[in-house]
Amino acid sequence: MDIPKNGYEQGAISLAPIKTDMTLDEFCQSDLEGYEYVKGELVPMAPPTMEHGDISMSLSLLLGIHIRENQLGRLYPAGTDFKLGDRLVKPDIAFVASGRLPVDRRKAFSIPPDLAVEVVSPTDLQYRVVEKAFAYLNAGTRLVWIIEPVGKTVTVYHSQTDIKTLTREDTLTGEDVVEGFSCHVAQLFE
Amino acid sequence: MDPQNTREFKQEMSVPEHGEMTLEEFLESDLEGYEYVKGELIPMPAASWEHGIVSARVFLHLGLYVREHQLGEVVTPDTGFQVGERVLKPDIAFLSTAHLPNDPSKACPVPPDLAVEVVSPSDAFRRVIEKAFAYLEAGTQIVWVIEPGSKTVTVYRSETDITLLTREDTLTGEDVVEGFSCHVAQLFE
Repeated sequence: MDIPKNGYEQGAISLAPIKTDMTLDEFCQSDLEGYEYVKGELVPMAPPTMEHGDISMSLSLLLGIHIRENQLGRLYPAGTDFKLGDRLVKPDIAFVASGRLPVDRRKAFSIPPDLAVEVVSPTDLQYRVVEKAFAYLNAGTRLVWIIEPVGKTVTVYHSQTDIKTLTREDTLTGEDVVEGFSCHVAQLFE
Repeated sequence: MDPQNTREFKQEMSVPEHGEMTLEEFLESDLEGYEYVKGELIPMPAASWEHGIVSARVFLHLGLYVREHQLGEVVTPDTGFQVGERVLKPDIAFLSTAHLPNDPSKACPVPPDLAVEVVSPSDAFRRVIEKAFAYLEAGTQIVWVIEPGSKTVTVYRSETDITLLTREDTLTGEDVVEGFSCHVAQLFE
């Protein structure tokens, strides 16, 4: 079966995963775009909307300035590859602390980010989003933020049994992962 | 294309159609397996085994408690509720004695006091939240959204009062199903 080269185009039609014989390494070497790789399946990514971009940008600006000023590490935009066990994922925003940055950064990160942020797209299935949050945690990510634009909520995952949902009246903090960072949840949706 | 998950595929294929029907026409019609949302018919795909089991657990725990304490009625899926401009079919719903409808032969004209939705593999995140908010806006006091994959229950009281419970927590009926409580883990055992 032919796999459409551009996962974003495919994602506009259907987000149903496509089975593949490719290994994770073969996928990393391939010229496929716009897919995540999950245990032998290619998962097309929902094409980003303006709303998605607005939120990612708002948070990136706030986080980015704080991280740079305090020299905490690096912030990576959507499209950056991270290997999580047998998955290859592209968080919408990722933070890697200074001490953990690999020397060779020309390849996909073989380490999980310290903080992973996902902005939920209109077509994202709930169980897949939750599954991905758990996959980050299992791989060693310390904090996952799932931002849902319709509900204007941020769900903060520390572990499978330590999860909190923040609403637009709450404050989002970097806790001990992005130390000293905080912003109002409402700011992300302005 | 060979979608592995037919449920997801089905969901993608069945993008809500624009119906000509009004809410009243929908309520009078013999259509089955749809919810009605502001002029759109939303198909409800067959539920998974996991969905069935979790729904059944909630129904048993909640139903027994409500019956014993004569607090009202707990109904099974497919029961239609008029929720603002929508007709929704919560997976489980509780209606207190004071709110029981006069005409039992029709869809319930008021929203449930407690609505429970069990997330299916085909449910888009956004639609689940939209639905939870629609219940609250129409007057439902509490919505439980149960996610079997992560074994969590999200409790919605208002758009800015949302609590997520994990399998180590206890789910309670608060002031809606007074005195009810069960371990979240029990729903997934």
